[in-house]
Amino acid sequence: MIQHLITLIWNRKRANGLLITELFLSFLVLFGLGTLVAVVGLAMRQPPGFAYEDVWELRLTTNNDQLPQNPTLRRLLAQLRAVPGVEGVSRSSFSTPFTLYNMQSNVRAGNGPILEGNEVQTDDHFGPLLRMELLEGRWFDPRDDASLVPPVIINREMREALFPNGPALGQLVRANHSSNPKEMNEGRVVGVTGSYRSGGDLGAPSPFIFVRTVLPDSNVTMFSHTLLVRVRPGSGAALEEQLVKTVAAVTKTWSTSAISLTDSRAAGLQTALAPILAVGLVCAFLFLNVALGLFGALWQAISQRRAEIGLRRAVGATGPGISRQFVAETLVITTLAVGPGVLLAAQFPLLGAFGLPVSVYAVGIGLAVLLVYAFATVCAMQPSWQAAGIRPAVALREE
Amino acid sequence: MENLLASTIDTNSQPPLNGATAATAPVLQLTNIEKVYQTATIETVALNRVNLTINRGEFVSIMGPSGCGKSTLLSLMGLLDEPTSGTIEVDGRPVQSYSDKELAGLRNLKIGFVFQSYHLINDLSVLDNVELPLLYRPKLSGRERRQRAVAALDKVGLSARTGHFPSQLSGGQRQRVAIARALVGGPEIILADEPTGNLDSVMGEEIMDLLLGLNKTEGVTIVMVTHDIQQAMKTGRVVRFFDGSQVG
Repeated sequence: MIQHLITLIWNRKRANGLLITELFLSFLVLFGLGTLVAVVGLAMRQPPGFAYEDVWELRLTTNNDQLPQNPTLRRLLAQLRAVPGVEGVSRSSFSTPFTLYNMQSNVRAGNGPILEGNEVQTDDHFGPLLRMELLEGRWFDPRDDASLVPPVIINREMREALFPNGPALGQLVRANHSSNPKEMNEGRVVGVTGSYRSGGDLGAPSPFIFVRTVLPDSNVTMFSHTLLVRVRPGSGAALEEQLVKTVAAVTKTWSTSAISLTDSRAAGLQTALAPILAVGLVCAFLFLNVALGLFGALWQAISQRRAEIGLRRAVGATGPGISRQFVAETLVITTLAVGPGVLLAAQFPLLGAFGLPVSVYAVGIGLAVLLVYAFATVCAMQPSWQAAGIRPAVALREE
Repeated sequence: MENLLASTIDTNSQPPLNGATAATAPVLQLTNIEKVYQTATIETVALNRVNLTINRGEFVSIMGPSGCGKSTLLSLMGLLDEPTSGTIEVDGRPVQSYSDKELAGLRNLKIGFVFQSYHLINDLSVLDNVELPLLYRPKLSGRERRQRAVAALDKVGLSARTGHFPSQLSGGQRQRVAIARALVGGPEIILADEPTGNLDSVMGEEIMDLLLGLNKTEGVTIVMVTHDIQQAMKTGRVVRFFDGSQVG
């Protein structure tokens, strides 16, 4: 019977061509959507590389305070560390986890190529406070005060890019925000962390360099300072209020905003998912249109074949048999569309397009195949049931 | 998967095509048949208390004006429709209680249909069209189906046209293909609904001769609806209808 169906479909190739094209295009749309879902799913399953729970970010705005800021900042750090419930405080540049801010940096090892990465300027407490995984070496500590060359820490991605085969610890690197090698600051690698995905759940692991900063006695004025505060698990709004009050009491004129990294992560995820959801909605709308088109086309095709249905009933087909025939025909047509679709989609992993792993494309193809077949079956069901319900005597009279 | 749709027939047995069975045994018996078509506002009586017996090996013509219920009667005989009341017996067994699957099996094994407008599937070759009833017999192999289809086409003189499509044939040839399709399953009864209605007189005669030959040489029971009195007179019995009632 399958041979019979294939013969029938082949002989109706002109009529089926549109359906096959429609299903082929649906497959491609679903492949794109499925791959996107796989990319998002893969990203969300990867750990961020640090512990963000129970960490608050305090963003301090100095409000043009022209008084020496560093003594104030030192007093503030001491006061905050003394607050009951606070387990640790760290200074950081503005590019804290889950923010949209990045400090791009050009990093070079020896005379090697210049690598674009991200830089975080921070202190001795940042790594331990965020419980970052250390793969090699150590985090910054007071031993670095005596170093003639400033210490730097790099993450896994930067290590793989700068020192793919050799040791990283003790190596000199130069980093700065300029691509001019003469303007680059030198640093010695004292540690290598694991992947650091500060961009949030959907951010890809990228190369990072952590540069140690100390609070000099010189009178440097800054527009803002960022602190990360690890609090005891379960601490709530009362502690947040106390932290803000402490800042106000020490700094007098500075203003503070506080947000937990957990909330920051959720907000970042929402922002990152918004365009993906928008694309998904557009795809869903397109798909709905295709579904309606396919449903209509099948409905019409079946309506035009009422006499054939009557004939088949007359020569021995049952109602459910007719229904199965139309579903089977639709599935064969779907296979004729999905086959070339899979062949086309398979070129993406074969050519290494977009640098995505093969598994992502495999998920995309799998999802698309599954959905197209499910969708074709659902669209074929109703017209097929309708065909099954046609009384043979009536169908035969309708030609 | 070979017989995905052929789940209706669970036997491969076929009645003989010769007239060796008891010639007078009723193969079809209709008792007090009424058929009423009902819509929201109109009730149309298509058949009114029809009693008719078709004996094995008979060639019966059904005549009457358009709209008198001839085709409805043929649909009921072919188990394509259900009567509003009355009983239909095939080989002495009432079929009212038969399931859709059992009725489909009976149609496939016992009955062959020939229609005025041929009802060939235009997208299938002549051979594929003739094979169609055999697709619903899961035990038949593809080769056996093909052999039977070729043999049926041979009987109607079209074995040289197996690869043609219906659109490439004349009306008479199409009707021959339809007759081959009706014959291929080895039915006991052929129900022909105005088989010469769309043909010119020469082709009509050819088809009529073919049906007469099948009846005489192979003993196939034939019930034929026709408007042509000359053709009807060639058959063994003529049953006349008027306004849904049997009048002669």
